[in-house]
Amino acid sequence: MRISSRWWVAPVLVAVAGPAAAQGTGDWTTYGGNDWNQRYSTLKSITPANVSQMVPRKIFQTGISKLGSFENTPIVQNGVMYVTTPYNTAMAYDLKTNKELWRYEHKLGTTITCCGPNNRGVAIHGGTHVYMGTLDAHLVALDAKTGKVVWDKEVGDPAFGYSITHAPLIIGDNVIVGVSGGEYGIRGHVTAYNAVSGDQVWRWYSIPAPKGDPTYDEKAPNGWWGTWAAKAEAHDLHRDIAKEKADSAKYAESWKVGGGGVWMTPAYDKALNSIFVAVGNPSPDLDGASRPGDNLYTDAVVAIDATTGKTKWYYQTVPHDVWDLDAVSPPVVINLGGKKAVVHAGKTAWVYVLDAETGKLIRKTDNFTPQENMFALPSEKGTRMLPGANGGAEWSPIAVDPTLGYAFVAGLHQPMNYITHSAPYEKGKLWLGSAFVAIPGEEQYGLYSAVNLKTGKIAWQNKVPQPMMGGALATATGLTFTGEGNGNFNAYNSRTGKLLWQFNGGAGCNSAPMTFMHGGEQFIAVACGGNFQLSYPLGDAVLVFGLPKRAVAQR
Amino acid sequence: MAIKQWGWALLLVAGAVTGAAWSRQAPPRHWLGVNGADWRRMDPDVRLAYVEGFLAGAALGQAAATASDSTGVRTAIEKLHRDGGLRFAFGANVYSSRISDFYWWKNHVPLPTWHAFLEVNTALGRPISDTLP
Repeated sequence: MRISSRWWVAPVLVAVAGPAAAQGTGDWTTYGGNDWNQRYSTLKSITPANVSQMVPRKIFQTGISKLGSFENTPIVQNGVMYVTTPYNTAMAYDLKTNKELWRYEHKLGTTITCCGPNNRGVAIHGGTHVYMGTLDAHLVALDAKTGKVVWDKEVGDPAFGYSITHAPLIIGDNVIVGVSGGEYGIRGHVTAYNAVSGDQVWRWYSIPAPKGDPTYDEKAPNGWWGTWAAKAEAHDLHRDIAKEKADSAKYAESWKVGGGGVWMTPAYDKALNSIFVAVGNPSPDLDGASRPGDNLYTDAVVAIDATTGKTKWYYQTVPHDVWDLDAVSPPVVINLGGKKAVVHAGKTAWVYVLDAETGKLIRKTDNFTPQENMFALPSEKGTRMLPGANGGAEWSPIAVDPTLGYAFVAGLHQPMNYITHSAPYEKGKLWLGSAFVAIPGEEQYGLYSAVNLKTGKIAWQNKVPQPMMGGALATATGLTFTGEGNGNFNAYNSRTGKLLWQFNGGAGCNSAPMTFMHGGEQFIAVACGGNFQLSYPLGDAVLVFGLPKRAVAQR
Repeated sequence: MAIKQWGWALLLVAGAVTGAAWSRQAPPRHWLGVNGADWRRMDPDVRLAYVEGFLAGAALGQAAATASDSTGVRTAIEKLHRDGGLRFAFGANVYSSRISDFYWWKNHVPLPTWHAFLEVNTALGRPISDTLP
């Protein structure tokens, strides 16, 4: 691959900034674009001045008949694009010939999918192996050149509710992967495997055990009961803590089935040797009475030592959650005013800015979707509370622009009633759905927001017709990209929020976009295959956009 | 000695009181009548034990439908488990968690637990029609 002289400069800049990244080569080698999960590209060919000329240059139709939520972010390395589909088919495409090089179809065993089948992508190690987590909770290592299985490990027993939907993360010679299943009484964990042998290196449990258990976690001396927090920062959680304490003996074993799925790819900081993980909801979701305590580390951002797998710190956004407002969107590391921070966009509609070394809250930003009646308890008649149970921000990864200090957040506005005690009997429905009921006649919409991480203020917002699920991308030229459920894929000016370009992909563009360099040109890619959970039109195509060949020649 | 006699007497009285209380709390009843109210009274470990018993019984019933003797049943259960063909295919923690949320709704409470199992199973993507022999 020919590398033009300007690409020698980029790696140096990136190294100074901090996160290990491959953008110097023009590749996109990890789910979040770099170890810090920033989804920020230093590529500069596509600019606010020429983005309006952008056209589809390639379309990879995966040809998969079993459709689901197509949430994949492709990985690109050495002229090959790696894509995964909702039911765990992995495929490699040659970007020069646009031909499929190989495909691997994982033979799924028993599976439970909380929120629709999906897979968000692969990790790649040394250009030789790619790794995919599967719906039946396996981690599969594939030969990057042939797609042949190198090793295959069961990370959790799928019959007990474990599954994997996120893209693994490579740290050195380890592959890091978490599990989903918080709706099904799992005890969540994150595990490091040796990338070559597949041997387990360490396992960190997202539900801390009480003293005496071999997996006891000294950062949670009171186990998952925590500190009996009555508030989330200044906000009253309306807990009956006396009753919870009285019940804690009866439910002494509840931590063993406490949930705490890890939905999304963690971030990693080499200097701190820390992995930053967002931990999902407790189990059972609704019946908070059977899980007294704070339910650590659910709904939390946690820092884990990358060598030992031990907890360094945690910040719980919602202790004892009964609203399903858990921590899902992947954490991001950024330098803010000389301080290294971890940023997380919550389902609560706040962006949390935490000190990366200590986990202390630096600031909670203004809300990026409407809030109302926060943390009011569900009631028999229904309690109107905003945001609804999907957020705020769902799993959608944010992007950050470190030069502006902005985070770009895809948000949902879905007014909901939180109902207890009586629900219409719907055969075959997951009852979670009927506990959080969209209010008929009230408008639902999406908000794409730039949140100033230095001030906590909303810099700009764009309203779109449907609640947003997918994610963001930012580039050094001052562009940010995101998709919509109606198939629109949009480019905005990062500083002003002005819509500069739009293309309709025909199916929901509900995945996080990426960018890469190939053959001297910059491309933007996004999987437009819809979303099962929000009933956005399904499809199976990865769209790759670039400047027209003519424009490239004139540049 | 006198203390020992008093001790025995106390134990007898305590046993009688406890037994009477137990019999009032849990009178013998047919399993068909066990419902959400009973479920809500169960401690978590009792719930898990109850679910495991249900799963074993369901697997036995499913396997027995295709076998002629106990060896055949054992072979059938092992094959069903291996092939992911068990009607109730998931672990006790999964059913226990989902049934707890099922009975969190007041209007579900009168429904029997076997009904809850069927509904949870359907919600988990295993409707009964898909797993009948």
